[in-house]
Amino acid sequence: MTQRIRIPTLWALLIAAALASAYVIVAANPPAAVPGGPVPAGAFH
Amino acid sequence: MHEAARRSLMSVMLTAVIITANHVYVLGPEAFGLGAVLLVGPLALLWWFRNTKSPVAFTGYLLMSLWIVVGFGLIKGLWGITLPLYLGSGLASLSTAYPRPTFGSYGFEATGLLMFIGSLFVAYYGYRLIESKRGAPILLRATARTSAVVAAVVLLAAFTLVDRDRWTAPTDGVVRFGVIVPKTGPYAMLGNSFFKAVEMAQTDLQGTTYRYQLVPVDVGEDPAGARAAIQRAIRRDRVDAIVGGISVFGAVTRPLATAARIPHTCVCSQTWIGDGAYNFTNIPTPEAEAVLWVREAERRGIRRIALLTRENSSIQGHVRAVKVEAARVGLVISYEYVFTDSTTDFRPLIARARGSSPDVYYVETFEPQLSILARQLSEARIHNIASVVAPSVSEHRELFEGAWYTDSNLRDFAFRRRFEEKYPGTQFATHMMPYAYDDFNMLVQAFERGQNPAVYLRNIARYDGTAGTLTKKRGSGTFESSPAVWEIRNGRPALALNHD
Repeated sequence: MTQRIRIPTLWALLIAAALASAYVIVAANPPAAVPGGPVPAGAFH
Repeated sequence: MHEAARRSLMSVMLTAVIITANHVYVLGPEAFGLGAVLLVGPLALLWWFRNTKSPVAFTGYLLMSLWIVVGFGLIKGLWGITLPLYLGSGLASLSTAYPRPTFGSYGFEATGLLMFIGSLFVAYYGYRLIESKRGAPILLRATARTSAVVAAVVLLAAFTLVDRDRWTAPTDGVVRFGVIVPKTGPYAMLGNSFFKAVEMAQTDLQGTTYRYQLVPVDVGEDPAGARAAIQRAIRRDRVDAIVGGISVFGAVTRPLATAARIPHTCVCSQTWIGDGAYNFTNIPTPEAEAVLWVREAERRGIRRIALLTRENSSIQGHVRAVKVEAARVGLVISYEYVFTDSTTDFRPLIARARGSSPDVYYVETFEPQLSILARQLSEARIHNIASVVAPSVSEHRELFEGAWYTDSNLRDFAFRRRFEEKYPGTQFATHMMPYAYDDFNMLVQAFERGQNPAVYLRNIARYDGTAGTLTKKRGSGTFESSPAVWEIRNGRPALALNHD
């Protein structure tokens, strides 16, 4: 009985910790953001 | 058996939902088709097995589970997303021999992580289902546990090994540099000059260990065509590095260079293209241009600025930076208009701008619009014109006589003289050519020193280039340099007399 309660709880905690730490890592290394929208044709540099 | 099948099916269904969510980021609505297959397939097979005890149905169900575990859980979820996210980031923070991973949005990364976790459940309950059907354990519990731990350790070690960028000597002693050169369309002139600057760098080499071959990559006019041309250069011509310019093509090259794990230098003002892993930009940033521009405006006693600029992200990047810097020191924007590429009659705009009593007219657009605007300003007897870069690339510089602007700080004037002597009639674009020359030489240095070129670029903090000293912060993909103030004198760009 103890095991049946503990293991799902541990998994839930593990998944929550993984998702939270992933959030921190992605926030620290955000995907390439293009200021002002996509790079247009006609830019000379 | 019934309980094991139920749990296995539940884990498969839940993981299929997560896989679908993850693939929406990549495939768009087509991901729902994949989701339908992953949901309906196992359900139908298990239902068939339950009713008929067919071994075909049972094997089919296990194969679908295996597909989810290996294809989506291990290859995509673990190797493609989870390991780069945690181990890849960690290794990159410890050593520049490891690239900083490129991430997608949080939703993509989170569902990728859950895809891997879900597949662990699919694997576990699939295993229990087989045991239940056999009525006996497949492996001893201790053996199963040890195998899982060994597999995890092997995977971590393999990723650490594979993720590291290593030096490999070029085949046959030849290093191939792909050079991004649009030969047609509005960039043809610039592409031609850019290629010649790299060619000059190549002919300037003396006594090198390796032979350096240039592979022109004609990227044409549009990004879609460019993508195919760059892919061809990477796969067929097996280029070892890419030297490129112009943000529109740099943006296309960025993911391709990352996937091929080859360095890509770009003379691009869009600094986001430089990720510090495989992609590096090299040109004064809009912010650096703006700081100098505003300082020069203040020195000239300018208080009010009229802005007449084209709708374009490179140009508006300059304008945004100038406005921020102007606001910081209290300069007034007396008039602002952003026109489109189809505008040819600027006279009403010029009249309205004049009505705001500006001390200077900041103009920035591309040819042929640039000459049209300059001519109409001249006809209105307006000569107090300033800009960033634009007059330098004008086809009719005489129309900008007396105008001042910021542009790259060309320290080595002999470079321009040599270029113009070697390639008479080819326009020397001050804001691009020196950086193309430097980019090539930085990469050559890497090969000559027997270092992985991407790692070498990551480690450069300072480089004495032909357009001044380049600096790069640790982990950054942007080589920074200071611009200079230029004027058009006698129809030619000349450094301003107060230049230091």
